[in-house]
Amino acid sequence: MSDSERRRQPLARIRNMAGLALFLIAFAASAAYVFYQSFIVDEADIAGGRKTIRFAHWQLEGSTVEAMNWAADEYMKLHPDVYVQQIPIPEPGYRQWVRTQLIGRMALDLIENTFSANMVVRYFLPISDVAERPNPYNKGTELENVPWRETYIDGMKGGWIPSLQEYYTMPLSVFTIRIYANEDLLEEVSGGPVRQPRTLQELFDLCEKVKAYARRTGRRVVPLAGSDYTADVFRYRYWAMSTWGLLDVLDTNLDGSVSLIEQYEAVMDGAVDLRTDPHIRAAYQVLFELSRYFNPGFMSAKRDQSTFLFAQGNAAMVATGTWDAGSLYKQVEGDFRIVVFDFPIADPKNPKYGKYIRYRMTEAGVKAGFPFALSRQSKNRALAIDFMQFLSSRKKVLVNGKLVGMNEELNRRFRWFPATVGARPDKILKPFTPKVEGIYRVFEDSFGPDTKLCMETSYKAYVGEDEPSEAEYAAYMAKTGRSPGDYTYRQYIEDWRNRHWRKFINKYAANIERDAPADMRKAVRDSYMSIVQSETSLASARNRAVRAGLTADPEGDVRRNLKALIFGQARRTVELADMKRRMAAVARHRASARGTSR
Amino acid sequence: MRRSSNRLWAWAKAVLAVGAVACTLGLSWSAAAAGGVKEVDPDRAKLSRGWGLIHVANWSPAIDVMEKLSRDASDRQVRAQAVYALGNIWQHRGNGADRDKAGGYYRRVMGEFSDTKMAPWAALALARMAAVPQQEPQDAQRRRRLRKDARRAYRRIIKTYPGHMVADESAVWLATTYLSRFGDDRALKTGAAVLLDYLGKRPDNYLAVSMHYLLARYYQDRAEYRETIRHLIASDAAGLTSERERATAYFRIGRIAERKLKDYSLAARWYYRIVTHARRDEKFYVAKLAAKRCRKLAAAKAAAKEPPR
Repeated sequence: MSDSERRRQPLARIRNMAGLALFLIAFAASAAYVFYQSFIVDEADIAGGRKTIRFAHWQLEGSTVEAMNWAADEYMKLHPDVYVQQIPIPEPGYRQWVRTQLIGRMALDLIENTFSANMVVRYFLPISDVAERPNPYNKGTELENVPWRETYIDGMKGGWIPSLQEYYTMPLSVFTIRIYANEDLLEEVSGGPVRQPRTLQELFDLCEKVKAYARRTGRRVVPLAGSDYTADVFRYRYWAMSTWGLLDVLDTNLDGSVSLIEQYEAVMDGAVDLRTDPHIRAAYQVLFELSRYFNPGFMSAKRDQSTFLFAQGNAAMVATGTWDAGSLYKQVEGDFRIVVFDFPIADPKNPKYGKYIRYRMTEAGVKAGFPFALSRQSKNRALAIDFMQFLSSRKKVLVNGKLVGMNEELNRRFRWFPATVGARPDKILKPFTPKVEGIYRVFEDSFGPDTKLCMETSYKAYVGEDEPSEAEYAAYMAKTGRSPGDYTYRQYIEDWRNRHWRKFINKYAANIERDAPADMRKAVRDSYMSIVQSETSLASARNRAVRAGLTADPEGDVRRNLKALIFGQARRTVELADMKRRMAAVARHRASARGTSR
Repeated sequence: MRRSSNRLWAWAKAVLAVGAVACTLGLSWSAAAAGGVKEVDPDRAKLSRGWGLIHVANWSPAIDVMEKLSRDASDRQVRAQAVYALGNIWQHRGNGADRDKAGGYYRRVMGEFSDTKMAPWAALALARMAAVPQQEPQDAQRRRRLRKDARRAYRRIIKTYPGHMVADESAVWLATTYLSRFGDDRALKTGAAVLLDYLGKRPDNYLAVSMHYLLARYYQDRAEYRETIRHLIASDAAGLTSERERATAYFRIGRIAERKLKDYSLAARWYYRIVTHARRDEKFYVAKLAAKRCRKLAAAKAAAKEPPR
């Protein structure tokens, strides 16, 4: 090596080392900065030194965001050392965004819950212990000493997750469904003041008036705004209302509910004959009649399209929930007035429906919604719960010179129904007050995925079929030589409807007979899997006893959880065995019947 | 020149050293700032942390914590609990693929730590794992064998750990192995006898609600309606677990009294209990109508019994 090369060696080494040294210094500084930012700097700096609560939801409709901002401001007035930040996220991206936040440990304190129990137990904290204590913000009211959960109209059922046997979420509002009607249009149609249809026939008559009005004036307006969603609103209700009378036949164990096996036995053994049972016939016929009043192509339309149709004044009525009240009233403000109807029952003297559609559906079991869950990653858990207690309380706040309860005012601003006992709804929402008088669903139109698929296909074809026109009637009369005096268009339509119904019900019944056994076998497998999965919940509940060092006489939450889970598991185990036995008996009867008939 | 290059090299080494020290200091300062001064956690705190990880299904870190504790904890009870927890992890992670491994841990608790508080829990966990396999066996012989093994295990637990929570629970499961044998009258009677015997000895055990409920079902299937109602009432007294369960039980009592016993006063009383005690249940209004109907029927029945004036 030459002298110059020897001289260059240390310099080269220095150049290489300098780069490495700079890198290490820079890395050290960066690492220190990142850790400092992650663990030392918190929202206190963002919020001007105050503690921060951040909450996220996807309810961007109406005035929800503004209302929550107002609520946050009210809370901050009471707690000047707290900063409350709302993060509204559009619905399409909400779930993914929340997952990213949770996995990245960047989560907020409160998150509107739309997630499965598996995800809830992993990322959120139960609040059962707090739910059992009074809400401090109810001090000075008659709810002062009442456990927080009992201050909810639904007893906080909306926050309860049965598979986990814990309260996990804190809801804020209650939602019910009614028929919104264009009062101005109906006055024009009826030629006078509008009265709520008290019976099904009155509703049909009103719809006929709307149709006649549209023909007369040339105005493009339909009686009922239709979509797959609104059609289902009517279907769910009128199916339940019509088939309620089958309870006595179906409820063999007399507990007031109808299990899948009870229904299967009844249908397959002929106690309920789908083809001839008058309750089932009433159900499908009323749904067919109602569907005549929807806009053409309603089965392909979506919910937003039907509410838009109504808001534009192109449909006289739309069936939807209080979640749409805020946006609907806002959209139609200045254009027309809204009046709200309940779903009518039949006049007892009505020959087709009077015996069957006698009660509305009960809303006694309605659950509160807009529920927020407390993130495990929250750095201000007690504060986050305190905020939710404030929002769900009867704490008086000053609004326009008057003192009003917090949950009441919040929901007035949402234009939703309050969740708190004793809170009065906005006057436009009084018709949405949950009604406890009514029946509940006892009979399902399918047994599982296969029968449901057939059912949906058949049902869509059934309600989607156009009735014969007057021109077709005229052609029929010309062909047969019958006189309109002997056979009116109305009679022709009625006969067509009966044939149409018979075609549908025969196909439906045949599908059920063919596919129900396979669906029941799936139900048996699913029931067993449910038992296997419940063992995990049970083990988790036992672990709490283990951790507490308990050996006998557990108390409190440990006792409550274990009791409930073991009760459910024992019942499921015996019911599964019973289900299999009764399915086997049905199969034997049917095989024997087939053998006899040959 | 040589002296200056050596000096430069010395400076370079010094800068490197400073950089390395800065890096180390920066990291450890931040870590310290993040978590405070790290204290040595006592074993029970680690155990608690491990359970917390299990609760949120964070399996891998939970395994690490519990494996270390099972080896290194000085307290035998802690080691036993860590081994039990490992059984729990392997049983419930991965959809049951590692149940054999789980069984190994539970058996280790029962063998190595049989005198600790964990032994009864391990015995129950083993019994339940055997009784509820991941896939329901289709072969009748295998089902019979599983049932037999389960019954033996439950009976052993009841005998070995009397008064323990695992014994109460085992009594319920033992009874269900018999009460699920529809069509086998002897099995059904044995199941009922298990529960009646257990309730005779421990009437206030914390699972009395389930036992009475199962007995109510047994008697109803045999059309012994007074006994059915008696056990439904007892299960209510023992604390039915939700408003829905209460409404269902009360409705059942009302309907049995009305339809089967024609005891309209009793029926009215229990239907009305839904109105007063389960007003948020969907059966509320139907129960109210039923109570009204039964009061009328009871009055008519009473009037019919009165001698003519």
